[in-house]
Amino acid sequence: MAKHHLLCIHGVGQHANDWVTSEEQDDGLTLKDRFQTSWKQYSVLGNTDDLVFHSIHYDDAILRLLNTWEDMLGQFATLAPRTPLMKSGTDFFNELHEKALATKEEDSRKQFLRTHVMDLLLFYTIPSVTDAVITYVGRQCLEVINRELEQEEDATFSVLGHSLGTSVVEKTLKAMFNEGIEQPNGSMDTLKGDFKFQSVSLVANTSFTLARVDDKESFYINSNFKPGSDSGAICQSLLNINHKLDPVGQFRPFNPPAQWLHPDDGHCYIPVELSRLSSTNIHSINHYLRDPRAHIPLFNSIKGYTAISKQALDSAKNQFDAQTPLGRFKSMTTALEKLRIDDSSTMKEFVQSVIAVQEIARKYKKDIQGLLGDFS
Amino acid sequence: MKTYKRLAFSAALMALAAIANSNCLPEKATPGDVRVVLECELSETTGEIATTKTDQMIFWQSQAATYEELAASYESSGQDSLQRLSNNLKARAKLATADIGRLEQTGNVCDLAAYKDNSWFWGAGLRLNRINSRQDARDLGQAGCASTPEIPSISIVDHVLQACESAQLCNQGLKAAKPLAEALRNSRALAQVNSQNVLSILQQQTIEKDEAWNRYLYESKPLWPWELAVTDWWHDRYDDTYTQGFRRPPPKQIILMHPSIGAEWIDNATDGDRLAPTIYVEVIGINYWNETNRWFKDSWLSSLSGASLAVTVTDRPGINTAGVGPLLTFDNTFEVGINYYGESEFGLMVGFNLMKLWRDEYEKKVRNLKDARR
Repeated sequence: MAKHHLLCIHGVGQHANDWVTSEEQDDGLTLKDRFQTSWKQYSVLGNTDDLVFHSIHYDDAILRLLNTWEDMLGQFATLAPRTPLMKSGTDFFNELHEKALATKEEDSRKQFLRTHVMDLLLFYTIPSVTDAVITYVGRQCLEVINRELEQEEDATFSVLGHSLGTSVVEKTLKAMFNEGIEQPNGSMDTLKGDFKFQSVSLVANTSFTLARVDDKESFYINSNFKPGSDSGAICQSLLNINHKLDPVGQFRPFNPPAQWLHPDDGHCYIPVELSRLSSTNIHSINHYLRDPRAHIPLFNSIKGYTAISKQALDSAKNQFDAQTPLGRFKSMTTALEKLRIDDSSTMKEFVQSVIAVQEIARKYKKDIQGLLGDFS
Repeated sequence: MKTYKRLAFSAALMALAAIANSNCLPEKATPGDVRVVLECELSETTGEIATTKTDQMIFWQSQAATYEELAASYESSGQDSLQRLSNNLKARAKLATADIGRLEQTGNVCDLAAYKDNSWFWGAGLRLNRINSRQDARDLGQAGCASTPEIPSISIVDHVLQACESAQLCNQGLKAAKPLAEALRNSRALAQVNSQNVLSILQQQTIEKDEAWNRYLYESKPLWPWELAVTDWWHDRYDDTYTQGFRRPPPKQIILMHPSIGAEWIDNATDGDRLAPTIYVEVIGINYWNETNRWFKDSWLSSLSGASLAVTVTDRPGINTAGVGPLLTFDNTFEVGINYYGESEFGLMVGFNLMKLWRDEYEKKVRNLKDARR
């Protein structure tokens, strides 16, 4: 059977270039291990030999920019004292530069602000950063696709994006499928009609959160980023997976209008909202994928048909729910519910709620130790 | 090799491949085996395939004729599901022929042409995509597309499963479906070849754009975040519909309140103070980071990339504290300015982009950081 390639795009923060296979998530497993462990629970899916994981990364592009700015400040801190007039102002630059560097060593809250919130804000507020990131990601995706198709012409491909990575996926695929190849007489040929992803999964979906348009018409209806069973669609299925208690995905949620898809293609869009907690690290990609409500639709979409039946889904849900009794996380859930995440109306409030969730998770982490052992 | 010989050769290779893969079918197949059998049959290798437009026209015509013949034989044997599948494939092959005809006639490529991969791609679910209806269109983008009513999406596996279930023995249904699977495999093989080129050209284009972004962000004049934002605003980049695909970096950098440090010579300053480090701020300016967009080309001035209005601040006895003057940037790196301090006092300033000199250091830092996380 032909191999299926899963292109995985990470969320905010710093990641290794092979993050899918090297970075441990909240359950002590890498994304690849989590995926394979869950896959093996269902014998109908077959073995995992035909699944190939690819780490797609973009954090290095943002990191280079941040380092550039840090070093520009460093230049000032070094050279300004040599100008007689700026001797008094040197302290200001020194302090600024030290602040930029000090967060690396300081507490995790500040580190979180620097590595996570900064990524998000730069990506959202500066189009050049957005464009550079998506072009870089598009390049990596196309390199993988071409390389693998050369090896095996029937290989199929899916995309899995997490958090900020979902917005990167949405913009990258939109651009990739609109990229024109000019023909000798001036007409344009694009990737539409030539290639199609099997499935695109957006976990903790920020694609609408970080869109620069407000109207649904521009974002959903006029965009080519939609699933479909027609020859011009970019993917067969689109999964939109969010968690009720994770603010990421709840602020300006991805919520397409009814007329978004062709009348025959309703089944191609699969929204999933999770509510169970199985760790304090709500936002971790493995926290999402552990839940059968998330991984079963994902596996079915990769297989291209309902390989795991409704009965099997119900049974897996019951088993998972038995392992994650609501009472265990009651205090944390109450604290999270008090945040009223979906009431956030500005980007500032959204960022504040993301930080607040981090704080709550930290506070309750000690209370809820031991549970993760059930899942790793 | 002549076209007919080539096609005959292809057919012979296909037959050989079919014999070689005849073990796809188990001795006593059940409905549960249908998907596996189809996956096996559809993954068979095919022979030589048509490449020129004329070859393709003949190929798709012959494919349409094959599907038509198969539909007729399924009709006579009462295998309705296979007949429906054949008719669907025939409509696709006919449309591919018409799209090739349009391409020959107009020279325009149809973006969603039926001779491309997505019209024959069955994916992991073994289901063929729907081809949406098209009307004759005059605009350039659609001029290469022949008109067609909608050709519905169709599940290969469901139709073959029906053939398996309605036959006396499942094997009979699967055997009957085999020539259809072979023809479909052959159609897909050509469609894949037709689409391969697009993917590789696209990759090349994206690499070029990515390299341009690397130059713009890390190798040209380094911009502060607010300058990047203003440059984007100036070039109307706050639209993220990406209707033209991946964007190239803006052609020019807008310089705004850009502080730097340089060395300035003021001839009339007192001894020992003539050459001194100076802080300057480029209040507003422009920099053409890419050689192809600069003011002067093919002359010694082609390295002049930018110009801005700078304000300097100095502290030298007998000289005003603030000066103002033009600053020129060469090759995104070296800056030369003349500053006026009033009372006929001028300063000659040289700035240099230390960021560029330290670039290798940044790259090393990023690499080290990522390596450390492995």
